[in-house]
Amino acid sequence: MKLFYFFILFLFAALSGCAVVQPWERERLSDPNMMFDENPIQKGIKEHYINIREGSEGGNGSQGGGCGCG
Amino acid sequence: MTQELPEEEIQVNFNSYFDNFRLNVIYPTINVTKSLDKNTSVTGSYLVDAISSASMKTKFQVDGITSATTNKYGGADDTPDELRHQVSLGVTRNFSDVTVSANGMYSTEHDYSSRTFTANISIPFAKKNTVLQLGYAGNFDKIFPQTRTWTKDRTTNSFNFGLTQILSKKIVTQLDFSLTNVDGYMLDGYQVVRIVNGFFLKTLEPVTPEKRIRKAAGIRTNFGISRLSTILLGYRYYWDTWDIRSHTAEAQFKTHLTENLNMIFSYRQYIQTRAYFFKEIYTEVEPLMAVDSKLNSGYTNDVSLGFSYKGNKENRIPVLNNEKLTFLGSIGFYHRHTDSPDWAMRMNDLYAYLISLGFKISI
Amino acid sequence: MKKIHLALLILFLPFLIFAQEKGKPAPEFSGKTAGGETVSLSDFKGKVLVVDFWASWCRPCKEGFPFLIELYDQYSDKDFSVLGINLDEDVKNMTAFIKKLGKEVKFKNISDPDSKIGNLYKVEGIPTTLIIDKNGVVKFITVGYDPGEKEKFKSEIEALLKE
Repeated sequence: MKLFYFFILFLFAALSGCAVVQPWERERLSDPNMMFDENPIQKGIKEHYINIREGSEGGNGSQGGGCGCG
Repeated sequence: MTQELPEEEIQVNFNSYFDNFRLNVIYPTINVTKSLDKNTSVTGSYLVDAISSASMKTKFQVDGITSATTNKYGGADDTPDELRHQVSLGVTRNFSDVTVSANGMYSTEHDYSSRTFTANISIPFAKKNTVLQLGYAGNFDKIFPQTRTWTKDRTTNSFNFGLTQILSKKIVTQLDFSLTNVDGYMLDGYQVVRIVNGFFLKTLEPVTPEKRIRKAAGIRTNFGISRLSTILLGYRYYWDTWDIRSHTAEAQFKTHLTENLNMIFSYRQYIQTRAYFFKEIYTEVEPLMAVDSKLNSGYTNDVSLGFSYKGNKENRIPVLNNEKLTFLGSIGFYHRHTDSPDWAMRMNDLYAYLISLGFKISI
Repeated sequence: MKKIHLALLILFLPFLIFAQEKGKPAPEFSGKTAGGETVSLSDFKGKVLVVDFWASWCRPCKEGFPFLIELYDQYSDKDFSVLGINLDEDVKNMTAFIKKLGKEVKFKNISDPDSKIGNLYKVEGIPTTLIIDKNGVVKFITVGYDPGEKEKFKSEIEALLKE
């Protein structure tokens, strides 16, 4: 339940604290370097060798971000 | 309004891994992404792991089983050297703004087989300022080590919740939560526990609980610090029913060195506690016993430097002037420290080097 | 639970922005081309005009740009024109994109680095393409580029040219 409150708090912080960034204002955000995991294949390779050597898994996020213009 | 599909391309990577535990792995990968129509894209991939490690088979024997009765599925006589093949096929489809993807994967080697199915959906809100991602992964493994007589199963069900949020024209953040439920055999099958009480008593197979619930929550934020550079900062907390807790911090600096040359520098630090049943030395037979270093307490450091170069007409060197090509390369260094020595190698510190070279070609 | 629903409603309220509507007069604007020439919407009065909001960093915009050239080449001998509104922060990116295209762009493109015109038209995404009739009324709006819609787009233009 704590996590749920954390999530709601995050939503508030994320959504109310900032203005909407319009699709035509995403020049910087459209840079591939602003994307999370712009190369998912290389991310998969890295996760594989780490998962074999460490006791944790998950919570690494998913590919996202980018232009979102159209 | 529709979402963009992944770009049509073939990506080939030659990856290698070398460490001071005498493990060498070469693993080429090939990945093909092709659009079927304006809303559908398919991806197929193939990976081969060629693993060679030190001759340690004697270390893997447990009392009461001779090599004559062990599983025989190939592999060299005195090593667990092996080849792993992995194939996967996935499809991504846009339904207006919503993107749905499904992926199936099969992996096989002489002592292990694995089937994975994943399904993901991503739903944008508020002019794509917010994207909600929901995912499921089901994984079904079979483990049949050469040095044992049995075959065991493991089933993993994983659920993922993600939220990507644009905070400003230069900042984007991502929140991620995952819940994983694992049932069955959770070891690699080769490890052995030596029971030592003043003098050596016997060697046995390790035993872990047959159930593990794993949770992780992470946040990552990407900041555009200039027209050319970005900094990513991330943190993840992990906890499970085996009492492992971990913290991961990550930083990445990405910059366009020239119009066509991009650089990524990343640093990752990780620290974990040990599983409640993990012990460095077992003095008597216990119901739960484990020697795997990844269940031990310790920390890791990971540094890597990667480059990508996009072919362009201005370049006079042949091949490098092909606009359809992107060249990829990276080097990495990984250090793991465990609070007690590894069960087989008797060392606290693992040092690994990773080199990867590859290219992408637009089709 | 009701409270949460209310909170979510309040959260998403700022996103309910109303876009430019079909059937309404297109708001007047003016801007400068890369060459420094001032161009206004009213300059095209009496013509069927395609207005395209685009940026050099937007993949669907890039894919759709050759279609604008095609339209201009096909209909410019009639009462027709095309006007590009470029939303790049730096006008240099616009000129670099056109140069790289390797095709002659005969229609005008004005630079809107601060998204003033973009905000005025409250476009939903880019590319947003409008067809404005001879009387300055917005008759057609499409967001994104879909090669499958090319013929439909042309028939809209042809119908408006006959009016």
